Amino acid sequence: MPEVIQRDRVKELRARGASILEVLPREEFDREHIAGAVSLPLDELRASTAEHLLGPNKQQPVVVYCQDVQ
Amino acid sequence: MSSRAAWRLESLGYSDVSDYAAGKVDWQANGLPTEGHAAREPRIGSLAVRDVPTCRLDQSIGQLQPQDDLCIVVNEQGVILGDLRGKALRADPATRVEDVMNPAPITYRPNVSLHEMAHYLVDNPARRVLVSDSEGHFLGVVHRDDVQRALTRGTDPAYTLGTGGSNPMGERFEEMKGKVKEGAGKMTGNEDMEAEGKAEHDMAKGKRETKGAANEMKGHVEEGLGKVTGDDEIRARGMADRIKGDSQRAG
Repeated sequence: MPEVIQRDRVKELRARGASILEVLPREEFDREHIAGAVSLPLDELRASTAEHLLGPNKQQPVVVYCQDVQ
Repeated sequence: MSSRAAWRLESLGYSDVSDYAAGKVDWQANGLPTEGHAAREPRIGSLAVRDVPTCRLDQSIGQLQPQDDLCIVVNEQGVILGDLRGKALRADPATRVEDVMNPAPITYRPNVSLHEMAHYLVDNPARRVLVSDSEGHFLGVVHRDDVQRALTRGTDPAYTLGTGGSNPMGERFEEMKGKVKEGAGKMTGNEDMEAEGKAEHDMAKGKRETKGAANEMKGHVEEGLGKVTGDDEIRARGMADRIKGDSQRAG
């Protein structure tokens, strides 16, 4: 079950090299995103795109985010 | 959306997925690093002065050492609970801070752009505003003069934020002055004064609107050019001019 985390935890995971995924449309990502994040819009999220972006290791920590809780 | 994405990743076999539900808004609001073409827009966080006296609710006025007529009331966690300015700081020295503080100062996030802040300051006489993160922690104070300096650096020096009517350099001040003269003429039955005031007001207003329209047009052109050429700097400059023009026109 995905864990809902707060900003400080994101900072920790980011510092440890976790993959940070923005799932908003690409224009939103291009406008501004968390430094070091990669773009994987929700409507493009499939096994192939996820593996292409994240690699084959499915145990690695991954953080996903969008605009806000809405 | 991030929740659905997190679940989808789990369904694809990823076993260590976290959902940062507060998202980009929370990250930006706390002044954390971002990338992308909008990330280069100047923000008020960069102008925030952090060395500002703070105090606690249970202190007395006589114990405080305010600077520049300001003291921020915070709790142990550094969360803003109020502020003290002007008359409150001159209360009887035995008065408790919580009895005279302003309990609801307006605060801004550090990711607010300078131009958004300029819009606010054009219509408000505030000399400075407080900056906090999304949990209310005090991050600093941004001074009107610093915003104005940052905005006019390398641009039109005639663009001033005014100070709610006390800055003779501002075109809005000239407008207001004309309006006051017109009102005074009307009240005293002095038709010449009334007409003169109206003319001064209309002239200053026209000047401001013309300048605003020119800046807005220039901004549109630059923004379009930036989009076409993919030059984010030109685009950002265009956007800044457009906002400035819009603000000038709107008065």
